[in-house]
Formats: sequence, C-alpha cells, structure tokens
Amino acid sequence: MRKINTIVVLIVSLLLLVASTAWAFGEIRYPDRPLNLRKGRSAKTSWVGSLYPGQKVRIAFLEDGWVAVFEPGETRNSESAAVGYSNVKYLKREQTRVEPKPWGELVYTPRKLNVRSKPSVKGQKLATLQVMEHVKIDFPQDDWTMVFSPQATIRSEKNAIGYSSAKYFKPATESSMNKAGLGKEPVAAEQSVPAPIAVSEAVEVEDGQGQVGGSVAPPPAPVSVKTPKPWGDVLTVKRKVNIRKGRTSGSRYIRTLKPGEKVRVDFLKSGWYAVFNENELIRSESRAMGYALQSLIDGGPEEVVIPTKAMAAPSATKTATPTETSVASTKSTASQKKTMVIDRSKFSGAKRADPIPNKTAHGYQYRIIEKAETRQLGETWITVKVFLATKKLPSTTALKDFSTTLWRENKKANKNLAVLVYLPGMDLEDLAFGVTKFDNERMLEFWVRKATLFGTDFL
Amino acid sequence: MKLLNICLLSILLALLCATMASAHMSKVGFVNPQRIINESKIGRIAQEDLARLGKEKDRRIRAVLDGVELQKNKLQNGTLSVTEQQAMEKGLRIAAREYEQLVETSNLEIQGEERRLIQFVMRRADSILRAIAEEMGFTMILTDPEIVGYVNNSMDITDRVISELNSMM
Repeated sequence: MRKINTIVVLIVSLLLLVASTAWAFGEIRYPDRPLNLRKGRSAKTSWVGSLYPGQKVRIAFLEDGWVAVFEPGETRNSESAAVGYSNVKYLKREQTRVEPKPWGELVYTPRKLNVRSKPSVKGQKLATLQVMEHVKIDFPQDDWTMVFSPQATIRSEKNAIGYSSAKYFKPATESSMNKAGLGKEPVAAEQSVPAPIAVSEAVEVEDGQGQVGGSVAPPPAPVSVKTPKPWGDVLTVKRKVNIRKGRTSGSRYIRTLKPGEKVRVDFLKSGWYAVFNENELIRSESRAMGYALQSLIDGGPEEVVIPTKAMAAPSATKTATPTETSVASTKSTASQKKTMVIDRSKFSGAKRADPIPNKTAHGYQYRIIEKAETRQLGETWITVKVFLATKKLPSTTALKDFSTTLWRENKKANKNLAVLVYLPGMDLEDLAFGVTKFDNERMLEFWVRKATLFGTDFL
Repeated sequence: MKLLNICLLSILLALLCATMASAHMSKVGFVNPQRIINESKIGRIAQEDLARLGKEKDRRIRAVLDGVELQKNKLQNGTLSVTEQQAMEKGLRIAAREYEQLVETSNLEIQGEERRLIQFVMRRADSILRAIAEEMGFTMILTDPEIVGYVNNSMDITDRVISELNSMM
C-alpha cells in the first residue's frame, strides 16, 4: 500500500513538474527602445511588427544573437507560436524605459464573419467570428484588415488570427462589450443610476485644453447604493513611486507616493495602474489621482526620473493660432513641470552602421528601411522609413520632390502616407530628419528636424 | 613616556578614521535641464524645429479655414436653389467638422513632438552628464531645481554640460 502511495505521489509530482516547465518556457524581457520584429533571424528579413519600450514579452530559442519573441502569456513552447524575431541585445531583464503605444482598434462583428488566410475571399477559412464577438483589428489592407485576439498585446502580423473584411466590423462600445459579457463591473450591487464609465485613456488632456473626444460626464453620485462592491486593490507603497498624468513615463508628473502610503489601484493597462485615494468609493478612472507603473507599486527597481520644465514651446504653438480654438491651446503654463525617463542606453555609442542604398531617385541613392501601416487618431497611415545616402544636406525642394516620388510609388487608395527621411550618421531607431505627410491626393505637411543631425557630419 | 605613546597612537587612529570617513562621503552634483534646453545650441535648434512644425500646422489650418469661409460666403450670397443650398449646408458642416478635427490633431501632434524633442536633447546631454560625473567623482547628480535649496557653484555642472554639448557640434 505504501509503495503504491509513493508511486502515485511520484507520478503526480512528475506531471506537475512537466506542466510547470511547459508553462514557463523562455524568459520575460523588456525592450529598452522601440524595437522592430522581423520575420526571421536577421535585420534583412521583412518587418512584421514592433514593440514599444518597456513592453513585456517572452523570449526563447536564442540563436546567433536573435531570439523568437512570444506573447508574455504564451504557453506553446514552439517557434511556430512566435510573433517575430528580434536582436536579444535590445531586450533587457528589467524595464528601463516604459512608453506604451496603443495599437489596433477593439471592434465587434454584428454578424458571423469568416477569418481567412489572405486578404481575399479566395483565402482559406481559418476561423469564424461569432455574432458580437469582440476582436482587435490592425494592419488594414484595402478593404481587409488583420484580426487579433482582444487579449493580444504584441503588434505583429505574425500574431494575427487572419484576415477579415473590414466593412463588417463596428467599433466596440460599452453596451456591445456588456452584451458580449466583456463589460466592466458596475459600481455597486444595487444602483439606480448608470455605472460610471471608465474614461480618460483616449487622449491626454493638459489643463483642460486641446481636448479630443473621450470626455464623459462626471460619474454620478452613488444614489440608493446598498453595499458598494469592493473594487481594485488597496496597497501599501513600499518605495517612492511617481504618479503621472498618463500611462507613460513621459507624462506629466503629478506627485510622489511615499513609502507606507496606502492607495487603491485598479484599471491595470499597459503595465500602468490608475491610482486612487484609499477611501475612494466610486470606480471611475476619471477620479484617479493619476497613473503609476505596476512594477513600482508591486515591487521592482525605482524609476529614474529627470524632471524638466517644458521646452519653450510657446513660439511654436503660438504661431499655429489662426483662431481662438486653434493650436494656441497647446501652450504650456509657466508653472507646469514635465518629467521624463532618460534612456541611458540610447546614446551609448552603439550606433548601427548606415544601410547600403539599393535604389536611386532624383539623383539620390536610397534604401527603404521599413514600410508599415498603422492607425493614428482614427486614420490609416502608411509609414515609409527611408535612408538617403548623401554627403550634402538636401534642400527643402529636393527633399519634397524625393518624398513625392516615394509617395507616388507607395501610395494606396484612401490611405495617408508619411515619408520619414534619415541621413547618414543618424540613429535609424530615433527621430527622422525629414517628415513629409500626404493624403490620397496631395502633400499635406513637410518639416525637418535639424536637431536630429546632432552627431552627424551635417551639423 | 608610555602615556605619550598612547596619546600619539590615539591621535593617529583618530586621524585615520577621519580620512576614511571623508573618503566615503558622497559627492552630489547638480544640473539644470531647463537651462540645457534653453541655452545649449542643440536645445535652441530643437526649439526652432518645434516652431517650424507649429508654423506648418498653422499654414494647414489656415488653408482649411479659408475653405470653410469660402463655403460660408457662398451660402450667404442667397442666390442658390433650395437643393443647392441644402447640399452646400451639408458640405459646410462636414468642412467645419474637418477643421475642428485638424485643430485637435494638430494640438496633439505638437505636444507629442515637443516631448520627443526634449527627450532627444536630454538623451544627448545625459551621456555627457555621466562622463562628467565620473570624472569629477560625483556619486549622484540632482536635476530638479525645485528640490534644491542651495547649490555651491562648484557642484553645478550645467555650464560644463552645455559647453560640452556645444563643442560636439
């Protein structure tokens, strides 16, 4: 009997061991800069997606300095589940810089909808979305779009389920999410007023100026509430934690929580908690003091901050003031203080070599480094990053002509296009020198950032 | 004689302890990021870049606004048929909405650009800051002028960072 018991215990332990190793393959890492995901283990392979600085990912299968990148919750220990490949040297064990970049759009389908292997009805049927099923969409291609699980965190073509026709999707609303059982919990068990809506993640608003949608009436007072349901978590802060206005390290600094201070946290998104007073009764993001990094609230290294007052923006913002409602509203107040995290590794001198040009236009040799489609402020943008091999600083006219040619070659119907020009000696992962924006018909904007020429032969 | 030896030994020991204590003392420096943005060449260039973007946005907004005004004038002329007027009113509403949207997105883009340019300059300054800190033996550099009550000039390395930044151009 004792022998049987021992064998059973041994088998169970073995199974548990196998299960736990299957769950925890690879390791968790965080990119220290915006990082491209590639189709294979080389920078020459095609671009499939990108990671934002500080994004949590799982990596495994290290070969030649390149690793397969997975969703952090991925359990399939196979390269086929990877969402792309990246150079391991940019993936750090600790978060040094966190700048979440929202991607995709949460939508639902009011009818059954096929997900196909290609952006065409000829594509193989991979799955069927059910009525009211919510998914994330991104990488639009003409009338089709890539479909992702709503839980997908990594923006990569390899992370998509497949393609669906974009015209059948409708933007997710609170009611659609409630119908689909994805809605948030109401404020209280019994309430005669509608539950407050979680807001404010849409756009960062400074001093009530420059508002863009997303604003919702203040949450109603708890009327005839019997027993408020407990919400969030009350935590005691163990170290100094900075509270910020938005879910980014670059957002405006609000205050610092001291060790021992008790706060309520909720609305965890992109690694950031909304932080409330400990006694806050109403679960509404608009009542939050601000946002704090989850890793700092829960434990982990302290954030390195260098606060600075805003750059002398008034000269720029004042000029863009045709009417009282125009860009003047971006003017910063004198007392406003901005904080930012300096990415110390960014300027470590490990700059990549300039790419080798492979095309010619307008007498310039160039190379397209990256071409991607994104959605920004509700519009679809094709971004073309191009390296221009030149020894002389191109004139405004030459740069406009060159960008226009690239636009003609790369434009797609009903889509905006931005040409980002990099010159020799520039960091191709940082800001571009020339930025030209086009819509379907013409050039919309053109400007250059001369500051980006710092450290090059042009300045 | 024995007492003298003990006294000397004690003094020597005390001196040794004092030297060790002073060697372990942290040296704190200070740098003012606002001055780096305002006074360094690269900071001023970044401000000019931002001003250029502001002007470009301004130009685009004005162009759209002119279009709205043009439609408004046509509508006010009153020489249109009912159908034409209705179509014109609809067009005006759309144009006005587009204008408002453009103003809003321009706001956001300028704010974002400002943030990006500050970070760009400060990243460049940061590498110099570290080198100077190591050279001058600082174990810590403060960067927030609002939390500093007093700074001895010898501890303020802002001028040095600015001149090093300028010399790199």
